[in-house]
Amino acid sequence: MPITARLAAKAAGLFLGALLVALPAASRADIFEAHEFTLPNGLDVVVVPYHLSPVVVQAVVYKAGAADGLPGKNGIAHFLEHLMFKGTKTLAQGQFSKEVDKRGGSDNAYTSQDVTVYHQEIAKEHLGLIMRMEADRMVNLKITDPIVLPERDVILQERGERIDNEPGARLSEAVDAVLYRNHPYRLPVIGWRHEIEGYTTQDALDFYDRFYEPSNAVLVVGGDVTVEEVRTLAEKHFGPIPNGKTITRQRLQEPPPSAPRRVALTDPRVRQPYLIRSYLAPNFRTAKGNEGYALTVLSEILSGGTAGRLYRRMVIEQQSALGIDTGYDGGAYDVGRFNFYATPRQGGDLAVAEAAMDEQIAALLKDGVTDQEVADAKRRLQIAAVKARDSVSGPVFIVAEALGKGRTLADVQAWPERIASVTAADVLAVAAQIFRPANSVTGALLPKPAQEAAQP
Amino acid sequence: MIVRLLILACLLVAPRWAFALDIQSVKSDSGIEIWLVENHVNPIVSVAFGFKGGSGYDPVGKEGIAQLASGLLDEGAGDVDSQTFQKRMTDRGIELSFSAGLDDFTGRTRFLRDDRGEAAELLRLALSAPRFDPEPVERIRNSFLIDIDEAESDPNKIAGRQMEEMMLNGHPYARPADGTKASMTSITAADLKQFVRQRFVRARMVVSIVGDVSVAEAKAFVDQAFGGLPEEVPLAEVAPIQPSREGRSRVVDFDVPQAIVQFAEPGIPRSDPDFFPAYLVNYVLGGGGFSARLMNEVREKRGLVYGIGTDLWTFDAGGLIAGQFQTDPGKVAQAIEIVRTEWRRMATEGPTQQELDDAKTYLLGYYPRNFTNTMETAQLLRGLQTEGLGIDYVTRRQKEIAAVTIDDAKRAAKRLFDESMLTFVVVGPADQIQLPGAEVVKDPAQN
Repeated sequence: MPITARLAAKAAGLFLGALLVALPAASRADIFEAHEFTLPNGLDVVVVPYHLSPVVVQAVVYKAGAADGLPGKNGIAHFLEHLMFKGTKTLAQGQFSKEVDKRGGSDNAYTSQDVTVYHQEIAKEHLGLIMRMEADRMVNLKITDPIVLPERDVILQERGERIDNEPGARLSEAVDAVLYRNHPYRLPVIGWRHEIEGYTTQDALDFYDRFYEPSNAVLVVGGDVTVEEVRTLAEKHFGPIPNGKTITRQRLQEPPPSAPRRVALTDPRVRQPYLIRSYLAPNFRTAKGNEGYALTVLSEILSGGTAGRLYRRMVIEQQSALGIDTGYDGGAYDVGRFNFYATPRQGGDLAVAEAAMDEQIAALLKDGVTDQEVADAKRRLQIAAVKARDSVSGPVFIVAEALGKGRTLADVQAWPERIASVTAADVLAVAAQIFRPANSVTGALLPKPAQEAAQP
Repeated sequence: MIVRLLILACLLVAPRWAFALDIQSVKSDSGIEIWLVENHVNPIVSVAFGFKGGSGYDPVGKEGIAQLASGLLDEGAGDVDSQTFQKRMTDRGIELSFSAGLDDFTGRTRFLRDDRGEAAELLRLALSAPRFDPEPVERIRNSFLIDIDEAESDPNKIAGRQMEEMMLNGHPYARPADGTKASMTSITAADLKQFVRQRFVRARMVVSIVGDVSVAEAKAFVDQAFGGLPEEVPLAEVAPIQPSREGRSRVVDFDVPQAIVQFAEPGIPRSDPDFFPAYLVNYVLGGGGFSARLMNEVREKRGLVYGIGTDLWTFDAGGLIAGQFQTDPGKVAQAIEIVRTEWRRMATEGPTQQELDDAKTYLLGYYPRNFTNTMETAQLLRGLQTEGLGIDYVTRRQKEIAAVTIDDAKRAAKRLFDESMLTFVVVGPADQIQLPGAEVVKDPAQN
C-alpha cells in the first residue's frame, strides 16, 4: 500500500530504461511470450501472459510526456496525470482508485519526458472493470477549478519533497539543464516551481485534447490472461472510442556538441560528495546498426556487478574511489545518455576519483575491451533476460515503455540477436564516438565550502 | 523498519487464492523444514531464508554489526577470496544478498535451475566460513561509515532517530541499527566471526523455496547450503518495549525547505487478538492510500501534502502505530491538527460499516498479488514461517478477516487510537513552525 501515488517518476522512467538495458535473452528466442493486435481506431494492444498467480497488470501508455509540453508548460503532462484521477462524466472524483482499492487492487501512474503511463494490478476477474474505467477516462475526463487548484498545491508539495528538499535531485536538475542545450529534456518533468504555480485547468485540458487518443496510446496487459480474453474486452471497452487525429511529436533537437560543461551544487547538508558525468549517446530507436546494444554491453563490462572492471580497478585495486557505477539509458525517444557516477573515498578528494575515472575512460579508448570481457558480459545479460520473465508486471512495463517511446514489439523481442551481434570492435567504435569531452557534462555535489576548503 | 513493514503488509492478505497455492512442507535429509512451492513456468529458483536475531540483538558497543555482516558474507569465504567469490556469482548471474532487519537476519538467492549446485555451495561458504579479510572489511565498513555520516544531515533520518528516542528510550530497538561511527569502527574480524557462529544456527532458521525444482532437488539444496550449520547457540531475548504514552511534541530546528513530520503512539504485537480489527481500522484511518481518511482530508481536500500514511509496526518485542508526511513549514500546525481531529474521530466513532466492508474486501482481494514472481512468493512464505503462523495460515486468514464485525472494529479503534498519546516529531526551520506545546531543540548535527 504505497502512501505516495501519482508519481512524477522521472526516476521510474530511468529505472525501467535500466531494466530494459539489462534485458536481452538467449539467442534465437523472443524475450517474452507476447502477442500484438491493433483495434480499428488505432489503439495498439499487447498481451504478455504469465500464469503464476490469478492476477493481471494493465498499463495504458500515452505517447506524450513532459518534453511534449508547450514552452513554459512542460510540467503539464505530469499535472494532467494527477488530474486523470479526478473524475469523468460517469465517475466521481477519486472513484477510480476506490473501485480498484476495494477489490484489493492498486492503481497509480507516472510521467516521464516521453510518456505518461497509467497502470493497475488486480485479481484477474476485474480486468473488465479496470479496462472500462481506463477507456472511460481516455475520452470523458471532467475537471473544474475547485478540483484542480488543490491538486496544483499537492504538486508543489511533491516538488518540495522530491526535489527542493533533496540536494542530489537539485544537482540532477542542474546537469540536465546544461547537458541538453536545446532539447526540452533540459527541463524538469514536474516543471519549475514558478511555472507550476500558474498552471490552469485549461492548460491540462488542452494537453488532454492534443494527445489522449486511442491512436496515440498502447494498451499492455500481462499476467493470467489469454489473447482472446484481452481482445474481447478491449474491443468492448476501447473499441467504441472514435478514431482520433494523427499526432506527431515536434521537439527542438540538439545541435552538435561544442564544449564540455561543469556544474557544482554546494549544500551544507551534503556529507558525501559525488560526481556524475553524463555523455549524450545514441538511442535504440534511431541508432545506426547495433550502437545501442554495444553501449549496453559496454556498461555491463564497466560496472556489471562488483566484478565490473571499473569497480575492480578503481575501488579494490587502486582504492581511488569508494564507489563507481555506469548506466546507459537508450530508451529515450530522442537522444540517449551514458552516465558515470563516482564517489570519493571518505574524506578524499573528488578530483582524485575523477582523475582515476578519466584514466579508465582513456584506457578504454586506447585499448578497447577484450573478446573475453564481451563474451562474459553477453552471457550475464542473457541470464538477466531469462530472469526478467519471472514477473507479472516487469514485462508489461518494459513493453509499455518501449512502445510508448516509438519502438516496436519486434524490436524488443529481437534483443537477444542484437546483443549476440555485438563485438569488441563495435564497443570501441561507439565508445570513441561518444566519450568526447565536448559531448559531456560533469556535475559535482559538494558539502559546505568550509569543509571543502579544508581538503588538501 | 521499512523492510519489516513490507513483510507485514504481505502477511495481511486474504486467502482467496490459497487453494491454488500448493505449499508443501518438506523435511530435508538432515532434518531442516522447507516450505516449497514448485512452479515450472521459467527455469528459475528463488530461495528466501532467515535467522531470528537482527540489529535489535546487536551487542552493546557493537551496534551495526548485523548490518556490516550483511555486506560482507559474499566478500570471500573458505578458500575463495572476495574477488573470486564475486566473479563466481556474477558469471552465472546468481543473485545472493543478505539483510539485517530489527528482529531477523534474512537472505535470499535467485538463480537459473541448472546453477543450483553452485548457488548452494556459495551460500554454504557465505554462512559457514566467511573470511572477513582486511581489504573487504575496510571497504564495506567505509561505505557504512559514509551512510552513518550522511544520516546525520538527512532530515528524514533525524526525525526517525528522534522518534525512536522519544518513543522507545533505553530499549535496544532505539539504538541505531546502522551503528555509530564509534561502534562501527570498533568491530573486528573476530567480532564478525563470533556473530556468524552465534546467529547462523538451525534452531532459529527458516527457509522457503519457490520455482523450478523438485522436492528432491530442494532437499539437496538445503542440505548442502545449511546442513552443516550448528544446531543451537543461545541468544538472549529482547525485552518487551515500553513505548512512551506521554504524547509529547518536539520541533528539531533544521534548515530545509520542507518540514518532515512523524507521529507515533503505542501499538500491539502481531499476536494480539485485536490484530486484524486494528489493521482494518488503520487502513480506514491512514493505511489505505487514497481510500484512507487522512489522505482524503489532508491531501485531496486541502492540498497540504503529497502523501500521508500510517502503519501498524509489529516487532517481536511489541508494536507501534506510526505515520508521516511532509509539508511547507507554515502548514505543519494545520496538518497536525487535522491528524489529531481524525484520530479522535476514529477513536470515538470507529469506521463506518461501508468503510469496514471496503477495507475487508481490499485485504481479501489483495491475496493473489503476493505471488506475482517467485522471489516475492518465497519471501512471503518465509515471513509466515518467521511469525510462526503455520502452513494452514493462508486458509485460516480469510475466515479471520471475514469474521471481523463493526463492533470488533469500533472496540479496537477505541482501545488503540488515543490522540492524547500521539508523539510528534517535526524537523524543519523552527522559526516558521508554530506548534503549541512543542519543545524546540537544535539540529543535532550542528552540536
